[in-house]
Amino acid sequence: MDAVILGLSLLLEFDNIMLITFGVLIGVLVGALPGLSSPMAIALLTPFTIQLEPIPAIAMLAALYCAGTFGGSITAILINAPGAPPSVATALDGYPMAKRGEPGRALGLATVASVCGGVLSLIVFIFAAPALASVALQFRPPEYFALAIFALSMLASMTGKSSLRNLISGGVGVLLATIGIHLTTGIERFTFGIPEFDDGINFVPVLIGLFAMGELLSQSGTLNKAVERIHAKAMQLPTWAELKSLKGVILRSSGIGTFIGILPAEGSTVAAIVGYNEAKRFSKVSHEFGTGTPEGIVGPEAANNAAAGGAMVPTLALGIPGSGSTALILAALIMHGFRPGPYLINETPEFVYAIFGAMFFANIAFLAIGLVGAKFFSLVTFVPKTFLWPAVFIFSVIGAYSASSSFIDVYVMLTAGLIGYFMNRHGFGAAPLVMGLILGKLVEEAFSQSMIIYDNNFFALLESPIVLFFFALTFINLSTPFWTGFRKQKANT
Amino acid sequence: MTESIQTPTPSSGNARAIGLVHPVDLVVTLIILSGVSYLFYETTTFAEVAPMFAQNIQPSMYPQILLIIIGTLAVFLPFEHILLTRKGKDIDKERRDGIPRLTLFTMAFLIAIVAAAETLGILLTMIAISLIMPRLWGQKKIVPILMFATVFPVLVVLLFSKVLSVYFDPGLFGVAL
Repeated sequence: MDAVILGLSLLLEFDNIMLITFGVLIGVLVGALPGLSSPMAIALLTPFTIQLEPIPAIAMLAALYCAGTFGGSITAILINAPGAPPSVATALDGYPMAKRGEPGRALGLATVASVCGGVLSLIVFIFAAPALASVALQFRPPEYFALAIFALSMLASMTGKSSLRNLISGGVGVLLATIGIHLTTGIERFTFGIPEFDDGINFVPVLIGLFAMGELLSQSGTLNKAVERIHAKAMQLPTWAELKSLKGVILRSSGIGTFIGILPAEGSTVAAIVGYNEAKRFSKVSHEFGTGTPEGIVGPEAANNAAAGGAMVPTLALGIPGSGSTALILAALIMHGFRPGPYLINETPEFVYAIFGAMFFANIAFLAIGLVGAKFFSLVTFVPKTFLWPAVFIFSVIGAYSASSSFIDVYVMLTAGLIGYFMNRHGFGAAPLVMGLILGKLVEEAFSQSMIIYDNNFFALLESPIVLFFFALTFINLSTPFWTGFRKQKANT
Repeated sequence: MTESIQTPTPSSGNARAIGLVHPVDLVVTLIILSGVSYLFYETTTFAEVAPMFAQNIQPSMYPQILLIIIGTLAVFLPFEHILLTRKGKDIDKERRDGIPRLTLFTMAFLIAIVAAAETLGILLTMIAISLIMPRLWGQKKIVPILMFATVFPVLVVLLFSKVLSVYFDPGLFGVAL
């Protein structure tokens, strides 16, 4: 109980409230601007949080993460251009409803569903994270190694076109984590004579490069795309009767979103798509989906916001990122000197409650933002790209440089950006690479310790039932894309 | 400015049109395998330590395992389009058109400005970005560009140097606030 009071009281300090509000506003803003995303904003803000106390810094980033998911729905509904990938499904019915003259209603439905999904998942988070952490305390290096391998295998089912490409991206991320001096032997690996690489590659410039610079280059190819904007004067909250008729969809989608969020590597985008499909499947008016039906808006919105809370469970309890954005929050935690995992929760439980409080605050703030600021946030899409993206580039340079006041980090950022652009072009996602980079050290440490424990006998690992369980899940997960491919082919023929 | 340079990409992601081996993915595979081979060679140059000190795990062992896994996965890339086509996915959607000319110019600009950043210092670099990039991206109005190039970098420097205590390198010209 003391931890709950301590964690929540930290958020009641004026400076911390301002920081979290700042995180929410930035999150909604970047979520609303097509091209800008919450992972990019987290990557850009992380280096500047080093000046802050760890708990408010992470709370601000967590609030930004929630708000970014919600912000994407504003532009999905008003200009049919999802500001963030998780809002892709929202546009399918949100934009048609706005187009037929009900933009305020569409925004209202999206906001209420987001708040419900977000709050429900946070309730699961507050109970599940400490419980999972207690279980994880029993894990030894072999179990951690198997868990990390399972998390990496989940990259295969992450959003993106190709499981194979996601796995290669993840492998490259794990390889990048080997740069620097090998902890056990003190031997330099892949440093190429650059002393700045001795301590390993700095996460922050890589993250900024992949998410901000890669997107900047992609945006340079879409400058002439015109969009039709629908003006929303105000948000219109749904009536009780309407809410009552939609409660089943909201609850189901919130459950789906939370569950998908808890799975390592699966994020809000997958949750939103599944939430939309399930809303359609259970609907009595499934033929109306795509024409502006309320169920088509609340289904994906409740699911994608619920996934944000769910994704924090493995991130904080196990140190395994639940999504691309939480991989960045994990990187920020590491930058602040924390080792995410069960010990973090058990030794500093107030941390979890502070994150819970910040995310809860962010979810409630959506209502205020929707009621008061929907009109303003719909106007931010008028900011010309010709000024917006140079500003992003400037923040990228400063963010990369300020991480350790070194120009090497700026070169790393640019290199990551150029590689990120070509990776994206050829279907290799940036998020799997980041997850590999974050998990890389854990995988190597756990692997080395396991080999020492079992005297280099890999098969002895299988003596542990938990290891066997995770390896079985890994096998099922990796073989699923092949089975589904063959099943679809069979169905087609 | 957004004219496209056509690169020899296949005109369709359809497996029947491409055949067994996807030509673009074959090139991607060769690039990955070249990188993997070079890095594998690098691992052979890592210093060896006594087995007892290394606890039977030499520093090169783990990166070599990873490189073998990445290389093995990459070998399947040229054939992956067959499976993706069965699933109704179009892997060529983003790369069918050539890289836009503006993207190439932007890349060249980013490389040039980052290469010059150490000499210019952070403030001059930001001013140069604010002046050149909007123009490069097609902004024709000079007054907004000039306002952006003077106000934005100064605000950013003041915010980050005064509030967040970030040190800004003044560069060889010594320009700082």
